[in-house]
Amino acid sequence: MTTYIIHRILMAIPTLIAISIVSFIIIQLPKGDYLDRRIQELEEQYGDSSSMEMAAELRQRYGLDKSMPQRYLSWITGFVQGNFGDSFRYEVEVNQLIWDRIGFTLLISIGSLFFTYIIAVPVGIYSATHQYKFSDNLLTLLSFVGMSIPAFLLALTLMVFAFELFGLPLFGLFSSYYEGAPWTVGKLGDLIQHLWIPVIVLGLNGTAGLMRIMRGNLLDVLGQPFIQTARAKGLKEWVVVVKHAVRLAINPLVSILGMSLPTILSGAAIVSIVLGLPTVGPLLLRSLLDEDIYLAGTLIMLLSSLLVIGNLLSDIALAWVDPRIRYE
Amino acid sequence: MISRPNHPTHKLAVTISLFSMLALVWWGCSGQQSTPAIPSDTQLRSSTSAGLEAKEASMLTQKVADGELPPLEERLPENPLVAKTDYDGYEKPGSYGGQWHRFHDHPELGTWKMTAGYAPLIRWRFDCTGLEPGTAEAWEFSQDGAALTIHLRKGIRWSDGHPFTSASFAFYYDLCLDDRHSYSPPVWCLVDGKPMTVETPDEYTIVMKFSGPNWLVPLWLATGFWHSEKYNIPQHYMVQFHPDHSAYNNFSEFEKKNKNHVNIERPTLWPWKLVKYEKGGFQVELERNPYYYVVDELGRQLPYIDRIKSRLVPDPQVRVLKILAGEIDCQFRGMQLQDFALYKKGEQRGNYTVREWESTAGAQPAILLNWTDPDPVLRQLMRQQKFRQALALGVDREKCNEIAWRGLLQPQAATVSQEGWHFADQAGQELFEEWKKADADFDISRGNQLLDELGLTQRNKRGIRLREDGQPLQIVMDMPSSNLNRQENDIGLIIADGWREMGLEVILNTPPGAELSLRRNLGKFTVSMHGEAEMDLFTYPDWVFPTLAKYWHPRVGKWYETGGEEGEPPTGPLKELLDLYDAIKKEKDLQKRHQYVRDAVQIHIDQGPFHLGTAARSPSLVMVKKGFHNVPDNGILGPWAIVTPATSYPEQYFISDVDRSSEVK
Repeated sequence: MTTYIIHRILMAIPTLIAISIVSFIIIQLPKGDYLDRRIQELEEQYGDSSSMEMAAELRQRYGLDKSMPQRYLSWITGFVQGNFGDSFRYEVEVNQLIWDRIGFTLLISIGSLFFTYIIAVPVGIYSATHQYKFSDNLLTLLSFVGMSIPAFLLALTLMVFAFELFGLPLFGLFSSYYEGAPWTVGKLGDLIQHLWIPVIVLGLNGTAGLMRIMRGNLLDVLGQPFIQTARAKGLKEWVVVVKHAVRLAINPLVSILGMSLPTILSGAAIVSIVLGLPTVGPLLLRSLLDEDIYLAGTLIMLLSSLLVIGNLLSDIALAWVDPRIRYE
Repeated sequence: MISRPNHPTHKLAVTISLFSMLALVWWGCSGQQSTPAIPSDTQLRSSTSAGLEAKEASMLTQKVADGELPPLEERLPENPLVAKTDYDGYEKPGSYGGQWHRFHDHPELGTWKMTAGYAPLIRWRFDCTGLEPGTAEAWEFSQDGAALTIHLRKGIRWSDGHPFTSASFAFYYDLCLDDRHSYSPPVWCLVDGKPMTVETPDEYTIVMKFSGPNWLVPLWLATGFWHSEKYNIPQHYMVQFHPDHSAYNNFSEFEKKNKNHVNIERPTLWPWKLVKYEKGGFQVELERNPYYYVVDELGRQLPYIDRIKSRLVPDPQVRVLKILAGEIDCQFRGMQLQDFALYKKGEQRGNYTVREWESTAGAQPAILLNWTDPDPVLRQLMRQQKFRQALALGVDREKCNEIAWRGLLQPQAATVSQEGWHFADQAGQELFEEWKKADADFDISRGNQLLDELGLTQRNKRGIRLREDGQPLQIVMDMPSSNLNRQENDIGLIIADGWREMGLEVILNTPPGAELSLRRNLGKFTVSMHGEAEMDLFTYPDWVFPTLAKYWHPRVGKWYETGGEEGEPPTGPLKELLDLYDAIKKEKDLQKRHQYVRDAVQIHIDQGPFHLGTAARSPSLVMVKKGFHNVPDNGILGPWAIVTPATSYPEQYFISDVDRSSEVK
């Protein structure tokens, strides 16, 4: 098992190097650089870009006058040492901008992952054991509705209703009083009050799918001879289902865990923009539009690393759940 | 008060403003001291409103009592600047305290600097009829206009208590002359390419000497926050990072520390000083500057409001929500017209009102026709007035207004701002009305006729007119690509329809990112777009005069900008326009300078159009919460050069119900 994990980690290195090169090139494909963007932005806003008269000097300071391979090398060597370079737009080190955003992103993503599984597994089991009854049909209908509503639309709908009916502004992770305040119990409570909306919005989409998978698998397993044997032995129905059937049927759900992480992270980006959450998504979008290359590159790299780690963890979890899996 | 151009009292207003301007010039030139603005005690006692006895905020009185601050008299200049109250919406002298919640849309705090980051030597008046004293109390030119003497107010202090003197300007200009620092001598100090010299005979006098007459300098000193924030440099603080006076061997630390919107330690002249700037500008807080040099009519130190909390909200929809939720006390800029109905609907619940200021836009957007098109055939066509007129006739401006702007604007030809001081009298307004109507009809058949007259009668199988080289007459129109520019995209489609009906092949091009402006400023386009508004053509002449590599004249502007080294020399009407601008720069008399601008507009009317109008004059939204006072009812919120609302002295806005906007929410 240890060799397997080490092997997987070693495999991740070339993957990440490839990701870093491709994303670094793609970020800079459009014509012009950050300073050209900023000049355009200034001209559209102020009708004047004279504050950019030292663009040539700035270009030198940001290293934008160097060739792309040179820029890549200086960025990536800094990156492995934990120095991600400066953000052009925010005029601070990338390090100062990203960590609490990555924290919130993880909080929301993992939170909604938990939400998904906590809802989907029991409902799936219920649905499978009550196949074609009215409750199963109702849950099936609901799950299809849940699957087909995009998360951002759900977020928008929730916002409109919450505002129209209750006058509640549903956005952000903190109310304006706690925003930027130091951490206190009150702030934590405020965070939890705000957190459930994005968690549900993000989770609901995946819930429906997982629930269907859980139901299908369980039905499959429930039809197998060893279940009949178990029942014939006179075991209680819930022991048959939970102890014998579910343990087998849950395997695919664990392997899906690794795959649902990218979906949730990218879904979180759109939902964050709609709900105005201080996560990585809006920052990444802005930095891509700006060609704020070191910020964008760093964010993409960190998100990719998260995915690689997430996949590894789900593989390990699968092995733990299902002893039949062998490492090669 | 901002008078609308067609208003009957307009003539009167103009006369009054002209007189007040003359008085101001006389006052400025004579260098006379006005009477000290701090009223006597009897005057103060006579005011009946409660809370007006205090001449400074209680948070400062406490600090004075604790010995942390010198008393008020020692913090104010001998002759403090008195905030002007001559606008509609001014209510009364305010009470101290409270917190102003707002948002900004960029970490550079541009919208905040436009509100309270304006501490120039000479200020724009709020009604845009001319200039008024700022940190300088007077200024005068020498007879030939080659020397400008500026007299600073005695006793102004930086926010750390250090005196503000002429040393600041001298320090700034030394940086401009220092090759190691990124500043170069500002464009306004160059006469025939030669930079000025600066002398500071004493602490309160700055003498600028130019190599020839340079009458526009006071305007440049007043225009925008970006000039004054450069020359207002706290030399006593910055010198510790200067390579000549410290261990640093270059200016990179110096330039980092000189950022007034990032470095909270850098002393400032703003009414509120920065006390918190975190996470790349997402959380910004400012607190009153105890040494602020402006007082109200009763001689009480401004600002009234204690603290500002500003959040970076990059997403426009979240800004809308913040306003609807009542989280914002007062907001200028960053609100889009498309959300107007929503804002109106939310007034009651959010406990605020939305006011409509003037954007003074002359075209939203203007359609730029490249005078120096890279394609020789198109270039030759673009230079024929009939061709440009035909293109103008194909623009359905009514439809642009109704579809893209929901009928909130006015269809007209492309112009600068009607409120600009060049057009203040009746003759000016008549000329402007003529300009608005010039080539602003929508008439496809007349357009077709003009194109036929140009000899473009051959067509291909698809009905597209053929150029003289047999190629189909194809026009590529550049548009901004972002969905934030929906109006421009709608308007592009409407114009393309009109031009197609006249037998032109139109290709709509949405270059990504910075390519749009690169194509525009390098002159590599045929037709492009840009919003147009300009209040002062003396300092920002480039919509009318081809002085910069921009808009409809990028290559000719490049020629003028570089003194003939790059770009293309002007011909025909462009030569006439540039000659007029050269005359403006040398003219002492303000009225004559205005007349030259009008002559240039006449050239645009007679020989234009050089760029095409669509819809113009959108309202600019301003949001004010109930209980937030002294915000002007109307004003101009458009071109950045005139720095509104900073010219209305936002330091005299106040919050009546301080409890409401304080910490608890």
